[in-house]
Amino acid sequence: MTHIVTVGFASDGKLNKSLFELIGAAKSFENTELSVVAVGSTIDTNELVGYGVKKVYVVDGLSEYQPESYLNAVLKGLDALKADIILLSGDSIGRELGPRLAIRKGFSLFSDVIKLKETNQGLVVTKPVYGGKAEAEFLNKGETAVVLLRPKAHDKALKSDDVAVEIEKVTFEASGFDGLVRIIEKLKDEGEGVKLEDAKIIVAGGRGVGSKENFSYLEELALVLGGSVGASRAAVDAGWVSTTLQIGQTGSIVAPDLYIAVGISGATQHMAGVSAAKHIVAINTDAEAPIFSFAEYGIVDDYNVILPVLTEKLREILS
Amino acid sequence: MKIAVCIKQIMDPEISPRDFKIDADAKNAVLGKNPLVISTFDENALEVALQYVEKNSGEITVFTYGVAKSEDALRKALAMKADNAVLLESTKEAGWDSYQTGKVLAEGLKKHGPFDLVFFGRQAGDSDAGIVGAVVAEELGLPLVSFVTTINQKDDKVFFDRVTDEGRERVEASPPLAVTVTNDEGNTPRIPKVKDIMMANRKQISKESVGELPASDFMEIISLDIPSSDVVCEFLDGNEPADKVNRLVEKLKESKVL
Amino acid sequence: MPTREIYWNIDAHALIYLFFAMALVVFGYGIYIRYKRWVKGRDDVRWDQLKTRLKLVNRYALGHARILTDRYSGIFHLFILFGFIILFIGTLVVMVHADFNVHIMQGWFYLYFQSLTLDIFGLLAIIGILMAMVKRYLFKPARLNTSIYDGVIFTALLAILITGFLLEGLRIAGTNDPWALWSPVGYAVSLLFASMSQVQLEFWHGLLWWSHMFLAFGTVAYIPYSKLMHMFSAPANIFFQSLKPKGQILEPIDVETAETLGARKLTDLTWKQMFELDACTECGRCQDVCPAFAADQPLSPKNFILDLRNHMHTQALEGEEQPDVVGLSIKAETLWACTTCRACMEACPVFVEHVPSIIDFRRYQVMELAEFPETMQEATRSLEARGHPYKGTQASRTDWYRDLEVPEMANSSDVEYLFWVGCSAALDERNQKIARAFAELLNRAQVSYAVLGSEEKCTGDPARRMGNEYLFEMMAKENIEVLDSYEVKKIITVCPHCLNTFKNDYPQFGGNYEVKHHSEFLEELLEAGHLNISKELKDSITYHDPCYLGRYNEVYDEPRLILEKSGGEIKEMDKHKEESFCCGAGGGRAFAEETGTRINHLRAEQAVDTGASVVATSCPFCMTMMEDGVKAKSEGVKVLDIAELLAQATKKE
Repeated sequence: MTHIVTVGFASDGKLNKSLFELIGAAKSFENTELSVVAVGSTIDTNELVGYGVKKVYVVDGLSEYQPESYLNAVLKGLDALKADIILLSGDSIGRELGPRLAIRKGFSLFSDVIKLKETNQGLVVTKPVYGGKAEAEFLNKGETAVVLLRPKAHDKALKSDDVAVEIEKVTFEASGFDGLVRIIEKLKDEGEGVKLEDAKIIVAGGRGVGSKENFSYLEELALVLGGSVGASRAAVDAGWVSTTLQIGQTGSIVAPDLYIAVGISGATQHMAGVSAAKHIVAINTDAEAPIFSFAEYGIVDDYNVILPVLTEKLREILS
Repeated sequence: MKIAVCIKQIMDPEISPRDFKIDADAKNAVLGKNPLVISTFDENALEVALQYVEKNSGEITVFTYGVAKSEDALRKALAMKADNAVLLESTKEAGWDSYQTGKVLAEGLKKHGPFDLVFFGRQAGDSDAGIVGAVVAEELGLPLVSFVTTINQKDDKVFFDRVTDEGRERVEASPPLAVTVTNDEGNTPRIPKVKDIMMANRKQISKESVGELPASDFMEIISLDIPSSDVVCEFLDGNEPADKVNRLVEKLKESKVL
Repeated sequence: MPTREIYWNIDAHALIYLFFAMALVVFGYGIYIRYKRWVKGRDDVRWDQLKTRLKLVNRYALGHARILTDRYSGIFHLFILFGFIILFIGTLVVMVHADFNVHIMQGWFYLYFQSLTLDIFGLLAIIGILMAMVKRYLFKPARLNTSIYDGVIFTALLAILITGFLLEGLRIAGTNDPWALWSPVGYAVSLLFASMSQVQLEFWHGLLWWSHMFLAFGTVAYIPYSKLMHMFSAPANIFFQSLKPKGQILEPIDVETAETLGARKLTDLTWKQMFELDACTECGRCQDVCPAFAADQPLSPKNFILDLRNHMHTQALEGEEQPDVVGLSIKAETLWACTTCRACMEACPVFVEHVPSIIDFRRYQVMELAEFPETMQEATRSLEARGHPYKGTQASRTDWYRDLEVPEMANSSDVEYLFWVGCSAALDERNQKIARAFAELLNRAQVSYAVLGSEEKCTGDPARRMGNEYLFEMMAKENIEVLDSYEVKKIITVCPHCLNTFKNDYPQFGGNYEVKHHSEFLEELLEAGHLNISKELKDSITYHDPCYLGRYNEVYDEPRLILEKSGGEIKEMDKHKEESFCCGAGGGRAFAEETGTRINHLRAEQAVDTGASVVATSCPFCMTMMEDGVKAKSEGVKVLDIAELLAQATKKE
């Protein structure tokens, strides 16, 4: 019997959606017991009913993410639940806490995992390496492991029963500031629309867009479609758009219904962030660009010719 | 302020996919004629450290763990105006276990430290694990501020701008600290001046042998493959841009995206 | 014997020598203060090959070879110049005759030269000045900036000429000169004074004589303090011009020992680079032909030179504390706007060498300050790490021939030619077609050749033009080593930038090869019958001359011959051959972001306006620029490399 503990966060009372991806991944294992450590404030544990979760350990009273106190809270939960495998989402919180948890617990650690499976030898995880140019399988040589799952790589678990969960709840003593790292302010980027991670439609631009000003073509199209604008790292590094719009292995991992790649060559590093997109459309002047080996539909042309026409056309249809 | 920046030399991640080849037995990428570079986020980290020292004060030591030719990466860092460089020299390429790498670096940092700020790139461009920074933080007992883009100091308070899934935020933290850095418009690595390149070539690099590390207790790579894409792109042709657009809109309607 | 009275009613005329001596002192001092500034520059030898230099002076200074490319300006300049030269000789004749007592001003010489010729040339000078004034004040061409000083000079010169003719008229009227008709202008003027009394004539003659003298000497004294300086500095600058091949405009730096890499202060330039600032006549022809200026970018080669001149005469030029030129007198963005197309240098009537100075200032910005446009930094970084300027290219150097039979040096022996592909043709998807077409032609003609494949690296051209001499030198040495290891003697390349680098830059580092551009080589193959036209093109074609092929290496005819032999009908653009207008890619600009009007759009417009259905070129960088520009301008016009066109025309059915 493997005991899998998934870790969820609810700084604003609502459990993060990626927790359900973790549960989904955990349920693919046979012969397991599934528990949850939930850290946050005013957590509604009813959300976890029906997913086959046996036990929930709730650490309440932490309304804002603080790395040190969250780390201690999760550790507290893990002390109560004897885990074999700890699953965390590889979002910005998970990537910060995961390695430290593993070290503190003496577990093996795997990050950015897109597949995991149980074998005779033990746990085997798959993760992209070399900027997504290759995929490696690693065998866990230890008994235990912390696994950071790449967001959107697994489907969310479906609700299957109404069995109530066993809940143990503690309130975390140290409220608020943990004295080490304190959030002063949230900095807003201008013109931020729907969060990329949640966007249904994304219009993303790369090096081929050519300049900061030209991103307005993409913004207009996104506006008409009710979507968001994203970018490849090349466009971010060129200083054309903010780093918060970066999509890819080292940016947001997105899963829109429609992904329109404009002037993006399709480097694996970028494509790693959009592999969960349902439909990919690529517009690029270079018919040989690798993006076309990921795209469902391709237009070989200048985007500054195509986008205005497309925007106009969609405006007609959608209004 | 005593500052350390840990960097890694990797095979250029910008090479064409056609130049990317795998040695199936060694379960490694084949370097061949591909260039070696400093892993890009590590360059961003060095840039953030350099900017901090320029605005305030401090001394920067770059560390790398790797084989002899990693010296080139240190020389580059020196050319960018890091003050000292330490090569934790191994006889074999570093393996996949980031724990081991982190521990080697932590030992080196302890020996040359203590440091007020220890910088890392958010992840290396080859293993893409993003673990080493946290391992070192744990080993040295330091708090960790991750995904930082800029550092500012006011009086004796240090402020870090960082990027999270929620957007940007500014945090305050007091050194000693470990910091991982992500790319941003403001931390594009500088081009070294020619005089500094020449100076860097003459500078002493402290080399400390760490020999060959034993096999990892935690993990073992069992396969390395280049994934293939089975998507076949349908090219939407037409004489006029409007033709192409119309065909695209039809397709999108068919697939119910619109 | 025909002659005339000299000094007629002028007493104490000997005083003119005193006054002239005074003028000379003022003149000499003016030259001296300029000279003192020129010699603060670094050393350079520009007086070797005396005979060649004198020939050039004869052709371009006396012969006006370049000034006459603008017919109107050339003609008025000839009138003024030779008008004053002849009048000056006339004055000397008077001196020799009257004061040295060598009586030459008599007989036929007096009639034909001293009277008739002088009168005609004096009149021509007046006409010349009036023409110049019409141009400057009525037509106001954009290349000319007019200040009060232009008016002062025009007035002074006209006044000298007019008082001269008035004096002649008064003397004729007052002395009853029997030979008056030999001085037709003077005679005509004398008729105006027919009613004057002898006393009046003498009074006016006296007054005007001294005025004429003071005007003339005053002007002489004024020369070194004004634009008139060019009468000496321009021919001298023509004399001092570079005698190296046109493509060899940059000098290597000894990075290890150089005090400063490139130019920070003005005196980091050579004396010649400083001297030529004073040779500039402000004619603005450089500005007229500058593609960056035409595209409203922050560069006017004329103002670049004038701003430097101003710096030279107003700033301290001593020691290390003298100010930086860039930031004070020249804006940094001015440096980065230059495509190094050499059009300015080709247009300059006095052979000012703008581009090397621009690069010298770039060198300091890049190598000492590491301050240059971000996108160029990106290219530099890539050159360093990857040996090509394209970060994020998805191609590898061997991609373009993966389904073609192209031999590689490493696997071949006894190869005659190295086909040097160049980064753009190897790595840019569009331009790979150029490499493919050329390789097909080589195969068709059964040429013994091979490529370096993955061993090829950038020649370093963009690094050198961007001012990174250090990086360039490293790349050059590395490449020379590779070429030597294969004992390469002959190189053919499809890229004029590579061509120029091999031909003109590498010899500075010990790399000497027989280098040919593919247009030259293909024309030879056609001529020798190794390639045969099987299908005539029947297109109307306009040919865009790449700067580094044309102006830098003077290859103009071969590409055109290929097009003609292939059955193309050539429709030239207005600006072609020596006057070709840059596509905007040179000098590292291919890797810079463009603001404002884009140079390639201007050039594409010129190409499309010829009505040709094909725009041909022979440089992959031009290809990228022209294709982009033409696409924005017109549907249906194709942009093709000469190799692609010839491959079509020689295809075996």
